[in-house]
Amino acid sequence: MSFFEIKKISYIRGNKLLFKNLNFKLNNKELLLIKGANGSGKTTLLKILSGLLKPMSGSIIVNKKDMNLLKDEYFKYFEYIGHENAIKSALTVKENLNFYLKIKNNLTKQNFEKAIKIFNLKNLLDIKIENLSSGEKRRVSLSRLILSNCKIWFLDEPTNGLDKTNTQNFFKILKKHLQFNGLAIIASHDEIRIKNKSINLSFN
Amino acid sequence: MTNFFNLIITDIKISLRKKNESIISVLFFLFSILILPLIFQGDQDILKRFLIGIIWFLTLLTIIFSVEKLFENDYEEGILDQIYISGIPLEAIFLSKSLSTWIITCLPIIILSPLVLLLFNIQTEKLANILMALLIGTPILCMIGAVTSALVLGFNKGSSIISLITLPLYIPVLIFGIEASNSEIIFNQIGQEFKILIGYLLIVIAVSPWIGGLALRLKYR
Repeated sequence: MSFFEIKKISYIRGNKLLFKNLNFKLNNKELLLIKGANGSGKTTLLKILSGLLKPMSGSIIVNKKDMNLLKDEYFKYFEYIGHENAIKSALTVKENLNFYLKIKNNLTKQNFEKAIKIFNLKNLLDIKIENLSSGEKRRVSLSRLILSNCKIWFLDEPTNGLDKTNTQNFFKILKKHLQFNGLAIIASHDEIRIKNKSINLSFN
Repeated sequence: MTNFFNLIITDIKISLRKKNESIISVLFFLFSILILPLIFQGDQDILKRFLIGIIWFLTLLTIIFSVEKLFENDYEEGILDQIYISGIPLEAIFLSKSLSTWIITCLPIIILSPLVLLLFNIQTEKLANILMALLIGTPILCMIGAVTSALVLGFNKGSSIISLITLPLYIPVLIFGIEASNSEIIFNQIGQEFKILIGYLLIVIAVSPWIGGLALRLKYR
């Protein structure tokens, strides 16, 4: 049995059927790439997977348990980086990271220095988010992945706004995450040169 | 519980950083009162008669302006999503937002009101009543405002209709708040108006987190 399994998920947005009876399975060390044209439902699917939207039907099975019934437990399994960076613009980088360290139980302070180093945030720590570029904001947002010890990553266009070096850094940590028995589901238009499974929502 | 207080502390910190936004609502309240003598052309009697009512009305307006987009910004920036998936109940998120708005917007008004009233030669004995009435009444206004804001976010459309529907809920607070502020001195016994206000506050504290949480949950369906 797979660690992460989606069974017959369907979702209708407005009058549009985005997907019907969608199934997939994912095991440790596997990466699933969600592809599709704009408006095909990539973000919606990620939001369903992360419990932010309720599917019309179907279930999410993690570690043999149906997560519709165990939402609080499910939240501990994954880290979700959405399309928006989810950082507070009036706070500094350090304050934002500390905010999430305080409210999210699945983040750990032990990896703080590591996260700062990997995403090159040392010089930005005391700068307010409102004064950062979009790429820098994305790096702050992605650094939550390092702080977290979650097995599953749900990522929506993670490399949006990142330069070449930081994109490569991101793929390095993604590879490492997969090597250490993690699994990841990514919605992206970018070409990802890591062995992956993929689904294309444009073809439903 | 620690998470609940962390949310409040962060909100207060942010509003202190965004000085313009937090100060502007208090300045709106202050300046509106200070220009009253001009409106009443210096007529002290009329001014004294209506002053307490005007203070309550301005307090209501200030709160309505402050809570208008209480959840919207956090939702649009994806912060509400992250707080939600951190496992904090939506009811607690609602309550933390209401409480931080009360601290940021209402507490300065409560502190300033008696001082402003002194400028208009209001009996000093009445100041305690006004202070008490505002202390009890403003949390009610804040929570009703926060429920409205959560409903607007949850339903996604019809924001003006929702605001109109919740508007009558403010009226009892204004009526009994003004009555309580004008009532006899309360040191010996609590007046009827205060009892009604306290009762309304207890009902709102008991009910509003559930309605607010439910309204926010609509966004996650």
